[in-house]
Amino acid sequence: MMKVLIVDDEPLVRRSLEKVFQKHGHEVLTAQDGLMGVDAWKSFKPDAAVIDILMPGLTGPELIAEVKPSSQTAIILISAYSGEYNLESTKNLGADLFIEKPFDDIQLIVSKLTEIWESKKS
Amino acid sequence: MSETTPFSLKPHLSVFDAVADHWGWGEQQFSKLAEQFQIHQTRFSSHSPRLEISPQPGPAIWLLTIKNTDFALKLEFLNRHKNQQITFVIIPDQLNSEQISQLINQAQIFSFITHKDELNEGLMQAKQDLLLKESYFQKLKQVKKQNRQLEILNQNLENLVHERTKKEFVASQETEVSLKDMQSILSFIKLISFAGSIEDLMNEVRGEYKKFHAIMPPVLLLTAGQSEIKFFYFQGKQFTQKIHFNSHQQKDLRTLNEIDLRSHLSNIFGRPFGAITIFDLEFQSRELKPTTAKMIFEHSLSSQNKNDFYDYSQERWPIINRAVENILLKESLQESAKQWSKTFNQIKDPILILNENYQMTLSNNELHRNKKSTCFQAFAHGTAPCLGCPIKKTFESGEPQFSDIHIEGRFYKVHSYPIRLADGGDVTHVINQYTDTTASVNLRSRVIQSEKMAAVGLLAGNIAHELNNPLTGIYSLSALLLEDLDKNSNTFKDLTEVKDAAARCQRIIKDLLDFSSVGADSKTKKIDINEMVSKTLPLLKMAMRNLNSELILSEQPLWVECNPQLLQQVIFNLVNNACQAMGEGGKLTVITSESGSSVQIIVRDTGSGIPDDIKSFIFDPFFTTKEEGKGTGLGLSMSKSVIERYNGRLILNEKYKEGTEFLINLPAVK
Repeated sequence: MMKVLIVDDEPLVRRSLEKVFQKHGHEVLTAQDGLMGVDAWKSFKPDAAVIDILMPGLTGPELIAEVKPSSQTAIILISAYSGEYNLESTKNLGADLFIEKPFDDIQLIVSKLTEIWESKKS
Repeated sequence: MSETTPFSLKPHLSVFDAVADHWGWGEQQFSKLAEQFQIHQTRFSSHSPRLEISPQPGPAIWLLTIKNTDFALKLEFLNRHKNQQITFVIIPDQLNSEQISQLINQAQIFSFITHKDELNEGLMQAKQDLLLKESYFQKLKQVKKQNRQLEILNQNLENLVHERTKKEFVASQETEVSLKDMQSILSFIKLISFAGSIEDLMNEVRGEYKKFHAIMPPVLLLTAGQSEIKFFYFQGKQFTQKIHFNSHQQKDLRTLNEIDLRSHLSNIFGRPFGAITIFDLEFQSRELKPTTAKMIFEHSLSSQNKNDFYDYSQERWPIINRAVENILLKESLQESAKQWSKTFNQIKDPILILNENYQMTLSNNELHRNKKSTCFQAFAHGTAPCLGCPIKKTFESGEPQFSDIHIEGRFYKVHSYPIRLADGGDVTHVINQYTDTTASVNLRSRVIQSEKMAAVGLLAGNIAHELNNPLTGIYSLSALLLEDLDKNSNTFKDLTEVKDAAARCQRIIKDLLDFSSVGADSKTKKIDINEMVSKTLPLLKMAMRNLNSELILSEQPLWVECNPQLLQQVIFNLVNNACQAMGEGGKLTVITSESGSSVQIIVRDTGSGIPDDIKSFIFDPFFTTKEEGKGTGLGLSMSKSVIERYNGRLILNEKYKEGTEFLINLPAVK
């Protein structure tokens, strides 16, 4: 079981991610913008996070820079603007994976994040 | 009156021998007489009396004896005849008293002395008579002299009158001649001033000099430069002009001497030239300053006639000079007017000069030459001034104005410039210049259109991204919710529809993003033509909604190497054109195939086809037959350049007659 923080300004995305992670038995907290995400991070101390890049307040990468997550934390960035991101730049931003919106299979996000978290734990 | 010879106190006395003999006079008698007279002793024959024996002309006393009356009568006759004023004192010898009285009556004998003692008395009386006679004679002489002088005076006077009369006659004759001259000069001026050309003028000059038989017709030389001379002359009666190369190039025509000129003239006339007289023409007007002119007369005049010729010419020369100048000026004016109108007419843009009532006074275009017609009738074929016409504003403001007008599907920029014929006066006319801006207006609208398209593309990209967020949520949430539902329930079916719709939306947005992001990633990829066609056609669903469409794709994938977005745009353009060509109803066919080393795509429609006359333009940038706003004229040209960039060919299949067929060939890759 992971503690998963979901930060996205799109309610439907938040709701679907929250639902799918809960379905797999994880504890989920959601935040609707970057600033609220920072607060939620500090109080919730998540094991893993799915963070949107373009948001009001702080962007995803700014949020990550602000909370300085431990190396144990698994982080996936998601965005509709895919052009400028690749694996290299994602690593530099303090995240483990970038997934382009729209995603065809939401289950894939759960399995990917779990996979990363577990590999970091061991 | 001058003093005549004084009376001689001693009158001449001629004593004839016979007297002395008659009375036997000695020395004593003579010396006594000599106190009173100048005595001349004379002898002559009594038979032949001659008065020349008188010592001197003029009064004298003759003392003589006579024997017969005849002799005395003869003497007297001679005396009277010769007007000698001789007083005869006669001593009669053998005469009776009858004869004496006859002589006294007939012969005017002063006195007869019959006795010695009477002699003194008689001579003294004779002396008195002589003195009287002499005084008379002197007076007569004076009168005669005066008469003569009078006569001379009279003669002089007569001469004078004669002279004067003669002079007056000559003078009146001269006046008549000079009046005639004047009249002939006047008529010459009149004739020459009517001369409209050099030829007319030369004919007049020729006629004017016809009276000199030794003068040949005139030759006129003109030059404006140094290299050539224009000769105007008569060959027989035929007026001719010729341009002759100036072989004396180093010399100005002005300085050409008689020999140079004669050599020119000999060359032209093909014969040696005689003596010539050269008249230099001088022009006052500035326009003719570089022009040099001479008029030359060949002649064979004698020196006397030559003077007449010069006198004659002297009066006519300034007239001819002025006439030549006038004609040259007229010609140069006509020339410059011609040049101006040629220049004016050569201007491609229509230019009209118009009055306040829109009536044309001048136009540079034949089509608009109908005077009295208005600009809007002639130019716009309208019945009222064109919408937006600047003429009225130009007249009102007196300032140049311009505006855009739209005539029969073409756009014109009209510049209207005011004309004031008087300085500071009212505007009397305007010059209207019409520049056809149709091409640039169209180009501008196309540029605007393509900018609009670019903006739409950018906007579409942004909107697509914004839509992606909720669509992702809709799709994902639907998928999650479906997992919890009974697959046979109505809700499951409904939610499946929602999920599928969201998926469809996501796909359309992805294609739209691909389509609008041309150039962002121009990298080539190995792509399947069939996939590309399948992906593109749905974007044109709207355009294809009323058409039958047939898609014949090869069974095997058709790989080519190119930029997917660019190729997609080419297919999009061709299919879109085909759809637009058919409008409502028709059949669209897209066929893909492989032949040898190349891959072919055929896009075919059953529309109206491309007219022959524009087939050569269809690949030109900005060429379009579509309505404004519907096409940029860039589609085909851009498509052609894209295909050629990847070593392919895009051509119009001209053999296909049922509509339009475009063929794309691209090199196949494995």
